[in-house]
Amino acid sequence: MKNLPKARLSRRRNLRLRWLIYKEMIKQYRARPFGQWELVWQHLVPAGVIIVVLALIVVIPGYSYASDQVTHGHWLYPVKESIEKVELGLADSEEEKTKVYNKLLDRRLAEAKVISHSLGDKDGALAATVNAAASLSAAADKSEQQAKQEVAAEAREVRARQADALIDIAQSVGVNAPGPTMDSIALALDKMKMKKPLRQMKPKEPKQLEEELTVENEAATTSEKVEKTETKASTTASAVETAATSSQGRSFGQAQKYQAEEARQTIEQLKGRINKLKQDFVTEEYDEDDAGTMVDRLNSKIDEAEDSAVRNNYNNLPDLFRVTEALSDNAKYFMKQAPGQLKKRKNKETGAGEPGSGVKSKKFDK
Amino acid sequence: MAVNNRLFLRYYDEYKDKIYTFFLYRVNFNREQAEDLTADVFLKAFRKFDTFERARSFQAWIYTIARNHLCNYYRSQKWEVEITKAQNIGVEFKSQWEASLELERVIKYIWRLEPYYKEVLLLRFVDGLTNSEIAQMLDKEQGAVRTQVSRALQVLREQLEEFR
Repeated sequence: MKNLPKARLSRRRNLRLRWLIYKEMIKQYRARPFGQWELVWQHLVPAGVIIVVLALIVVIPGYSYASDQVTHGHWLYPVKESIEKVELGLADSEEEKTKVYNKLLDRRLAEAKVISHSLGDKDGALAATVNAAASLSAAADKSEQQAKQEVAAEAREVRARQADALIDIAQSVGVNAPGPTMDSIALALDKMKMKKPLRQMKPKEPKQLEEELTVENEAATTSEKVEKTETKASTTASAVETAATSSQGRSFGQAQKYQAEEARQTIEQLKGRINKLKQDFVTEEYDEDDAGTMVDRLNSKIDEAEDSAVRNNYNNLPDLFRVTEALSDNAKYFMKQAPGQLKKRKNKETGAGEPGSGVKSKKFDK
Repeated sequence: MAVNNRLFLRYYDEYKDKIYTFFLYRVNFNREQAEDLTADVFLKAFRKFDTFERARSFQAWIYTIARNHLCNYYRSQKWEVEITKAQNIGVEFKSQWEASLELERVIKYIWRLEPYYKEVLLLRFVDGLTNSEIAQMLDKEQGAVRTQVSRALQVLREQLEEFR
């Protein structure tokens, strides 16, 4: 008898009945004085708290991760970065890492686009975002080299598309963008196009320079030493030390000379590039104002490099050269073209056209 | 008030299936009717929950409401267990559960018992009420209920043996 089956109320019916009971509860609250406040306090406030907590746990990180509007400087940006770090940490093969790097790179570019279209670039947010994109590009390149062929090929296609996106950003900020922003974009473009720098001049410590020069001056130094050994067989330890010190002093001086020469050559090379660019700007009919501003910017960088070289301050030169080179490579992406300008200009120079024409006014003509 | 509501919801979770089973066995395994009656009983119980004395057993209280509601329902529907329906009870029962042939036979014979015997057997073995709870519900002495249950079981056993 005890085995006679027991039934269970269906889930649908259970929910419906529960809802009817809740409705009945609300009716009772409403019937009492201040019952509505009681209802709010006892049920709606806890429900609100639960919703807020859920929002904090699920919605906010979800929004910050998914939205391109959450950019550098936004209060949710650290949340976004943390989630991305986790995502990157979860990728366990090089193929997956390449994909994640490219995905994050796409995100940075989308953010950069949003910043470039917004009214003000607060605290160099665009430069910071583009720098982050460049770092991701470098990391993706490294992963690609170890990834399988198909993934690497796909990633290269993606990179080309990303470079186009960055060119769009360069166009939208134009030549009047803040210096650091332009520098960052130009460097990132160089990285994405996988271009090798003009000259790999790294900052060198005096000791490192000394080692390099030791190779060059090896013959002379050796002969000096041999001479000393022959003439003064019984030289004391202090005498050898003095000789070594004087030799070191001479090597450091030569190292500086070597660096100065290297800097001079690079500056000349960059000047040559800028001159060629000036001609290109005219023949390819770029906007004259844009061309003037760009040439001014490049020249100011060369001036800065020359100043540093004069003051024997070679530490910041490699970075300065890299930026100048990147900017000269990608200068055209920041500028607008003005078709028909060349003809107009020629007309002006020959005196044809409007009265008062033929006045050379542009900065880069100087 | 909020405490009462929470308590009622806890009781609801505990007894919803039991009350549903109570009705299902008493409306010839008609699921729809049993669900409607269960909903009615819980809504009625909620409205009267302020009158429920905590010292009493909620089980006895809710079953009393259920039984009274069932009586009203029978009355309003002019309920009569038709002979054909009672004969088909095995089929109805089988449509609800994958039961063994033996259980099906037991159900058939319970339905052939006198209504009072049938009622005490269902309350005791399907609804799982104690003799004192049944006595309280049917307004009888506890000893009388015990006797009725054992007599009903004896009659059922005899009928089943006759069949064999």
